[in-house]
Amino acid sequence: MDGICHRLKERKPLTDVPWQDEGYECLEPEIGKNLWRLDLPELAADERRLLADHVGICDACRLQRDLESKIGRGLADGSLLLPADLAGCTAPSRGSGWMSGWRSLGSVGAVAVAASLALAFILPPVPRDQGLVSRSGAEPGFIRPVEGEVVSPKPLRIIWDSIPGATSYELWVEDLDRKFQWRAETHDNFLTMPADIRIPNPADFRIMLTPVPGDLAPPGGVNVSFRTAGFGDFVRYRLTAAARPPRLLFIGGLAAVLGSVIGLVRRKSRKIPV
Amino acid sequence: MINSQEFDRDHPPEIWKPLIPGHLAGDASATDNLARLLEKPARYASTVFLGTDDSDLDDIVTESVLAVLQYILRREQFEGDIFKFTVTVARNRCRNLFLSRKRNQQVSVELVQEQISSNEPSPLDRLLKKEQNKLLQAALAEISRECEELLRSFYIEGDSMEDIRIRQGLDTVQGVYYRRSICLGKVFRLLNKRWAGCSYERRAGLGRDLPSPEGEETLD
Repeated sequence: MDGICHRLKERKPLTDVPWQDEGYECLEPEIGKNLWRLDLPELAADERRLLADHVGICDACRLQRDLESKIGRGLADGSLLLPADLAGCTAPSRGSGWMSGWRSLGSVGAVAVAASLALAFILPPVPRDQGLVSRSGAEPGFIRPVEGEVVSPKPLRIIWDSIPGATSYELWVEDLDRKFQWRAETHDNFLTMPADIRIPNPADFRIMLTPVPGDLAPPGGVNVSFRTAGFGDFVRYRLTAAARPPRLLFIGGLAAVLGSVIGLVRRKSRKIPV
Repeated sequence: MINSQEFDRDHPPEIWKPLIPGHLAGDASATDNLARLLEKPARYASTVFLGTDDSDLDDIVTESVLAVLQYILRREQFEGDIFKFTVTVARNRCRNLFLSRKRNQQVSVELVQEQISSNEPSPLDRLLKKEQNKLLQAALAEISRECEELLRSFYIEGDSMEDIRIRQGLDTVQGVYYRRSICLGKVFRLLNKRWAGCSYERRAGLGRDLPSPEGEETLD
């Protein structure tokens, strides 16, 4: 096995030879094409003799028969291996063949799609401008939730940029119908809403941040709007609002998977004629 | 490529066909005349491969003609184009010779006396066997998934023909054999080209400088 693997690593493509000759020629192609019938147990004696005589003089057919015999013996005694049995070799079992190429492409594509989905949930979503006041890059603002973010109904974690000079922060969370209001103070630049506070779901919310002292607040204040929703809406939002890197990764991965599937299906459809 | 039609034109079937019954009946003069007719295309085809000065040229020509004569005796008849047949035999014989020369470089007998006296396979034999296996393995690596399954059932699993037939969705056992021949045929084609192509270089254009059997140009 190791020997075969080693030899495969060294092999060159079979088609890289500058041909000066097409190789052995069958003397009587109309007979040679029926060479396979020699193995039929119930072959008529006349036909068997005809084919045997042909093999006797035709070097091409004799070579073919020898090869068939050698391949049969080699596969049976393990000195030759089928592509699937070469899986342990570092050399590709089908060289740079299409089968291996399509499969590799599909595998890479599937990994890329999976990675993109994971990144879509790990990386912060892209903020949406919903007509409300949104943070600008130069001014302090909320880091999470981002503008227009859809969050799942679980203890909400709020993070914002520290404002230089602020000794503490005052947070005001309310829904747009003003049925839910919650106020909190902290010296940090983050806060997790206590689990015992149940926020309405689904509902649209707004968070307003006031630094202490209040003069440090930028013009227009610091605020962000977000929305609570069910798990389905949450997933849909995270996929559509994913940052650019996971989006590109997803598109590339999907294209690779589709290409692989199409390639394999087309290859499969090329049946051996009978 | 040799154009056997040239030979056909100069030697129509009316000339060589009547010699066949005599050759089959053991008529030495008929066999002799037939051999002389066949020698021309055989020599021409061999000369294109080997050149005029090759020491094995005469042997190849003689072997080719004898092979055709023996084949006619075995078949007890001959149908088809006997010149084309002879030319192809000669060309294949030349290929054999080139392969043999490629793989067994001529060396002084004194240098290999010990190897010759030993029954053990020589290092060269082992090398050739390894090379053959390498080529076969590389060609096998190119076969399709369907062929792989078929060959596995055939040679490794040892499944019955009926089981293979059912698994392959075929109506007859013959179809299984045929499919196997298709699968192995690809391996054969790859190796055939490989061996021929890398073993020698045809003497391109050489035939144009050669005298044709009748002093005519007979190359395609």
